[in-house]
Amino acid sequence: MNNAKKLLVSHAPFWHIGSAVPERHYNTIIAALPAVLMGISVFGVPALAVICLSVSSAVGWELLITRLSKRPNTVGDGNAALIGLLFGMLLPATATWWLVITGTFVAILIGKQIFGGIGGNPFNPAVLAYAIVRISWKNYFDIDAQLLNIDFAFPAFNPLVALKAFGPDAISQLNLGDLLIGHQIGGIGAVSGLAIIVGGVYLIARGFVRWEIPLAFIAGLFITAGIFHIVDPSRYAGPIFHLVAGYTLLGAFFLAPEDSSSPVNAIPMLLYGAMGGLMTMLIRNIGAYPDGVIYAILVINLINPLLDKIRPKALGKAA
Amino acid sequence: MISKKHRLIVYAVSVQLLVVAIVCYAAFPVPTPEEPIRLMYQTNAGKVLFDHQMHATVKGYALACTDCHHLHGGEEIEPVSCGVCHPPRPQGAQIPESCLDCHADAAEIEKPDIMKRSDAFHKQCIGCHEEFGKGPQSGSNNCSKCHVL
Repeated sequence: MNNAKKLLVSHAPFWHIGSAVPERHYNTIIAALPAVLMGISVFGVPALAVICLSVSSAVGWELLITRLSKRPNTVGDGNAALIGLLFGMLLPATATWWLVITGTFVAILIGKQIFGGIGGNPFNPAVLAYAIVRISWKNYFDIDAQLLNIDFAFPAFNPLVALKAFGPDAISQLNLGDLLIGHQIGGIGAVSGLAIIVGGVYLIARGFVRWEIPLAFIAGLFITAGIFHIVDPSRYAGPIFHLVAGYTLLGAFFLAPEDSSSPVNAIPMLLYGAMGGLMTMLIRNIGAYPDGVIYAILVINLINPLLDKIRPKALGKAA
Repeated sequence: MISKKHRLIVYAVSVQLLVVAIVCYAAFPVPTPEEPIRLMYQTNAGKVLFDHQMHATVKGYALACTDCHHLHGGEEIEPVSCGVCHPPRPQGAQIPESCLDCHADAAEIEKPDIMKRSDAFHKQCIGCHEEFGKGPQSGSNNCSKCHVL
């Protein structure tokens, strides 16, 4: 554990290895691209428009707000672009332009800059913005209603809404493998669980996301959904369905592990992730919303400072 | 470490994405199909998602237009949206409120009153589903088989 070689430090001058905050954000953007491309392949050009507008408007708001508040220009760190991309991934492919621009404004101003900029935000900005605009204009987030005029080669109804309204029988015709690949309607970047997993594994392998949060999130969701399903399979769908439907995997790999709104130590990370999965299932099964991921993540963001109190004891004694 | 190079790259990419977004929004809006694919009825008892394509094409039940859209004066006409005649109608729409608004001879109209839209839908949907014995059936406990609150 205490590797002596790791503690050796040569004398100055030092050379920066080049790894910094921007690298982290750009890599997360790269990791999200497979899911975005799958979304564009499912929904077509309208999805491309939403994603492009979301990223560019988020960068625009960041530039404008930092200028107006006379703060350093942080556009180059890629955080605003990442927030814009994640927000766009949550939206339906037919989201109108003003909804996208309003959403990114909320994400950058209320989600991030109001708390002092990068690293100060207590909530994931993209998630907070989604929650605010969804409550404000809920009809624009009704996936079923928004995608009425797009022809799909697979059953075109929101599986989580169908489950909540009509029960597990309504989704029995759906093939879980198809849902995982991306044959479902939903948010642009959330339809293909497989592409999200590819991006998530890349982030974990490169060390940009610690495995504890996504894995604990999935485990928490899986166990909770499993218990509900065992208790009453006629009312509650199985855990694998909940894993591949809705925002679950996007939440586990991209939304929950956001830098400043998630814990830093191992046990808090495990608790944080597990509570996210648990809350998601509670909202889905006994709450009012068909998909609980967004609100579950806001709740675990809220308890993050408390979880961070669980930390190793400091060495030495206070005088 | 945020260099000027990073900033310039973000500016350049963002401007390009903005141009792509404007072009896509302006030139490629989602077209409204001539024949509906799916319809969403917003009702007081919750929304109802109706898969028109599934009912009307060979992908699904291959019903003829006239199985649901009725004939007019005994002749088949181009199907129109149900809401055009069945009230409540779109506000300000210049459409007949009764068959007798257009037909002068009351004797040629069997039932001049136009059925309320919800009654027409219930009659149509439930009648057909019961006839085929498939999907949601009638019954006061079965509202939530179609309506999503």
